[in-house]
Amino acid sequence: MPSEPQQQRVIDHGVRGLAHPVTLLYYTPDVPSTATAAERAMLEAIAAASDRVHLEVLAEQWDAAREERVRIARTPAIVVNGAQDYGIRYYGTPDGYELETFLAIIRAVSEGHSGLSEASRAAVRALADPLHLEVLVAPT
Amino acid sequence: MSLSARLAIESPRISVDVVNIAVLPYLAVRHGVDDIPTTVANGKKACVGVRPEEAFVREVLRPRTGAA
Repeated sequence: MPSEPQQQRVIDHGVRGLAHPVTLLYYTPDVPSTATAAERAMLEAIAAASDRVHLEVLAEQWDAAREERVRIARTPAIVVNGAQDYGIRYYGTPDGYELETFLAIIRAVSEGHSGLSEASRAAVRALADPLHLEVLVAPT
Repeated sequence: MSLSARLAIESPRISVDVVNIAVLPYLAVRHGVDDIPTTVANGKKACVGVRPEEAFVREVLRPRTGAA
C-alpha cells in the first residue's frame, strides 16, 4: 500500500467516478524484487480504490512470443486497457509526481475518447504511418 | 504525458510507452534528455517539457504528416 496518507488521497481522488472499467495488466518477472514489490503494491492500492479498476498480475517468466503478441518491450510493464487496448504501456513505478500522470491516463482510458480539439483530431487523422511515442519521465 | 495517451486513444496508429528513466537510464543517455518529460517519436526526440496541446501535437506529428 502507499506509504503516505497523501499518496492514498491522490489515488482516491484520481479514480473517483470513473466512467467505465479499466484493466491494468501487470507483466512482471516470476521472481519479485524490491522494485517490483513496490510497483505491485501501488497498483493494488489503485485497484482497491475503485471497483472500476481491475488488476491482473501476470508474474511469469520471460516469454518472447507473448511479449511480442501483447506488444511490451520488457518486464515489468503495465498495460492500461479500457474498452480496448489503446497501445499504452507504462514502464517503472508510477509514484511521486508521475502518480497523478498515471491516474490521468487511467481516467482518459476509462472515458474512451481523447478529448482532443478538432484541430488535433484532424492532424491525427492525417497520420499515414504508425507512430510510436516514448515519453521519458522521472518520479520527482 | 496524458496528451500522448490521448493521442493513442484517438488513433490505433499511435502507441505510447511511458518510461521512467530511473529504471531505464540508458534511454535518457541515448536521447540526450536534459528535461522531463521528453517525448520521442519513432526513435527521434520530438518534444521537450510540458507543452500546450496544439504545440505538442504539432511537434510529435510534424515529420510524419507534413504539417507546418
